[in-house]
Amino acid sequence: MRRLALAAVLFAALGAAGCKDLRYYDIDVTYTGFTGITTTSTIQTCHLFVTGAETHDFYVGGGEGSCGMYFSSTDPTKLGTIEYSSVADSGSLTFDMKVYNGIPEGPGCQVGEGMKTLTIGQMGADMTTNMVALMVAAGGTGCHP
Amino acid sequence: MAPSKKIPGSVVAVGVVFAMMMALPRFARAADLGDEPSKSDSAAAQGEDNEKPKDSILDKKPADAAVASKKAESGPPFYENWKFWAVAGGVVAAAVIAIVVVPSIAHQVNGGDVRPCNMTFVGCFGENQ
Repeated sequence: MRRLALAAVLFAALGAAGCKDLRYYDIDVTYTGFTGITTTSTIQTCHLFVTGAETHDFYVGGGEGSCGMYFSSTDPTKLGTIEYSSVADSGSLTFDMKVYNGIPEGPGCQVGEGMKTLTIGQMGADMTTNMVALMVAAGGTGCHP
Repeated sequence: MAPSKKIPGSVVAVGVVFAMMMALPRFARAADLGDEPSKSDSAAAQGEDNEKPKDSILDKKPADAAVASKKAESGPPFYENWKFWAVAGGVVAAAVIAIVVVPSIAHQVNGGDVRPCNMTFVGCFGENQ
């Protein structure tokens, strides 16, 4: 019995000392409410902010003005899937996507925003790979040359 | 009556002294050993030691017998017992499993190796990148 307890402690210690494993969040970004002159075809910059257990921000396409290449005329309501890898195993993660139709990005050029918060370990953020649906709603007049 | 031959006192005194000189070394040796002088006068009997020690520490005592019987009861040494080797083998196998197999399984359960970026995604960001 004492040996079993010792083995259990050793097992737990090794598990705790193991490598820091990644969790993946596959964020499927869709657009909603974009009509008129602020259609999704005008979106040039997609800026994703991650806050909570980790803090990062990224530009889809690599920088400002690079998001337009992902516009699809066959499905203009869909941006695509963004993978975010995380080492956080507790707390929460908030994904905030802001889209702009001009450069440089700024409140005057913003045409939409979508936000999603996940609690790590709970439904939707409890697996190694988690599917996240992020809907970016139209908002703002955008900037026009 | 025949006149008695008188021995002079000086002759008697010399005889007594001579007798004491002869006897004194033997008494002295007997006193050193704590025993009475041996009755035997032969040289051979004096040469050999017929006297045994009264309480030799080499003599077996009842306590020694008890210890010996206890040893006999406890059986063979532990390393000659197959159960010892069975337990030792189990412990070694458990250690190998704990050191090699468990971390590998835990790593796989937690997602395994770093996932490559899916080419159909519009971007891969985060701690992996």
